[in-house]
Amino acid sequence: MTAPVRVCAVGDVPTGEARRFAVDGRLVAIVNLGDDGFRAIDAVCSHEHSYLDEGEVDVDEATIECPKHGSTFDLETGKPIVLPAIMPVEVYPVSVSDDDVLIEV
Amino acid sequence: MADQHAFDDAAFDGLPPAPDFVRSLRKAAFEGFRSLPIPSQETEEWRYTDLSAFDLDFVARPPRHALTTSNQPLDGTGVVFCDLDRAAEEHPDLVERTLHALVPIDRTKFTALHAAFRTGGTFLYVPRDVRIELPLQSATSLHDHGAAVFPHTVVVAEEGADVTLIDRYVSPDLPSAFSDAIAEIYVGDGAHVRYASIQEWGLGVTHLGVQRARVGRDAEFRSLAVGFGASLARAEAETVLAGTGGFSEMLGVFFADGTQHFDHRSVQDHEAPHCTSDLLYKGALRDASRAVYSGWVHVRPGAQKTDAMQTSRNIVLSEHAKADAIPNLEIEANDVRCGHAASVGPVEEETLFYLESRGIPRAEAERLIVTGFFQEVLDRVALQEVRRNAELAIQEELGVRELAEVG
Repeated sequence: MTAPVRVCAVGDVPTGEARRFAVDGRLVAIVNLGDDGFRAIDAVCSHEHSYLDEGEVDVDEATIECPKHGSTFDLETGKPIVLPAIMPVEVYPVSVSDDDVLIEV
Repeated sequence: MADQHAFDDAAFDGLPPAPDFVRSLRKAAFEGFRSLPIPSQETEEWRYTDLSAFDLDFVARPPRHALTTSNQPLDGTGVVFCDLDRAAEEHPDLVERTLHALVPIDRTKFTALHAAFRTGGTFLYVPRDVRIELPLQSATSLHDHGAAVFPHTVVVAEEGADVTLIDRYVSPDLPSAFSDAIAEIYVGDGAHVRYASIQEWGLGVTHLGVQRARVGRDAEFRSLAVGFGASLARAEAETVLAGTGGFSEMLGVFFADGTQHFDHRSVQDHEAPHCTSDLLYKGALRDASRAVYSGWVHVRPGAQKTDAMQTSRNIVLSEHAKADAIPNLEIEANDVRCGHAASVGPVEEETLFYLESRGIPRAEAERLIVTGFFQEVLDRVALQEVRRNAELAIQEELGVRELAEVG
C-alpha cells in the first residue's frame, strides 16, 4: 500500500453526492456522506460500463445506486446488494487532512 | 442534468468562421444532432454499448494537433498535408467533395454532433502517381477535463498515388472527456494507402470513432487499428471495395484492462467483383474489462469472385474479463470465397507454467505471451516505421501495467 494521495478538496463534493476523479490510473468516485465522512469506490459499475457517481447516494444506508440498471453498492465494502451486478467494486480507505480528501490506492 | 449539455445555440453561434460550404454542413448537422436520437441498444449496431444515459455535458474544444512529414520535402509534389480548416480555406474544391462524403453527417446523432462542432483535423491529398516514401504522421491530443474533441482525418489518394499516414490520439487520464472521431479515406484507382490509427486516450475519455475507406479499381488499402486507451471506446471501421480488383487488409490489436469497455465493429463491403479483403483483429483483456468484436462481410449482388476473410482472436487473462466475437457474413453473389473465424479463450495454463518453471514471474510471463500474441498482427505490417510505432505503443501499455503491479 502506498502513501495516501490527494484526490480533491472537501468542498468539491457536496453532501449526499458523488464526484468522479482520475487517480493513479483508475477512475474513483468520492462520495460525501455528510457527518459520516467520505467514501471512495471505483467509479465504474461492475456489471456494465456506467458511472456510479452519476447515480443516487443513500446517506443513511451508505449505498450508491448505478444509474443504468439500479445495482446498489455498499459504500463500506463495495459489495452489490441489488442485482444485476454480482461482482464487488473496489473500495479505498479515505482520510481527510485539513481541506483535502486523500485515498490509499 | 441528463438533458443539459453545452452543445446549445450559444456554443454553435460561437464557432469560428469557416467557408460557406462548411457553414452549411454545420447548420444541417446541428439540426440533425438535435432531431436524431441517441442510438438505441435495441439496434444491432449498438447492442453492446448503451449510451442512452450518456450525458453530453461537454465543451467543444479544438484538439491540439501536430503534423509531421518524416523530414521529407513535400514541396513541388502537389501534396497537401495540413490542418483541415486551413485546407477548407485554401483548397475548397478538394475538401468540399470529400468532407462527409464517406461518413454522412446524419449517420448517427454523434456524427451530426461531430459535423456541427468540429474544428481542426487533418487533411492529406496526394496527386496522381505521386509516391510518398516515408509515413506522414498526425497527432491529436486533449488535455482538459470536460472537453469534447472532434478529430477528423481526410485522406485523398488520387490514381496511382502511394502514401502512409499514422494517426495518433493521446491524452492524460481525466475524470471525463469525449472524443467523437471520423476518418474518411479515398483510395483512387491503382493507389496504395496504408493507414494506422493508434488510440491512446487516457482513462475517463469516451471515444466514438468511425473510419470509412473507399477503395478504387486495382487499388490497395491496408489499415491497422491499435486501441489501448479510453474508458469506453467504440470504433467502427468500414472498407468499401468499389472497383474491380481492389484489395483491403484490416488489422487490429487492442488491450483492455481495469474496467475498460471496447466495442469494435468492422465492415468489409464488396460492391465490385474480383476484390480481396482480409481482416485480423486480436484483443487481450484483463481485470474486469469487456470487449466486443462484431464484424460483417457484405458481398453485394454482382460482386463475383470475391475473396473475403475475417478473423477475430481474443485472450482473456482474468476470470472477470469478458470478450465476445460475432462474425457475420451476408452474401448476395454465388461465386465467392468467404470465411470467418473467431475465438475467445484464456491463456493456456501449461504455457504459463512452463514460463514460471523457468523463473519468470507470472506478470512477466503474461506480458511475454501477450506480446507474442500481438506479434502475428505486427508481422503483417510491412512498413518498419508503422510497425515500430505500434510495437512501442504495445510495450508501453504492457510495461506500465507491470510497474503498477510491482508498486
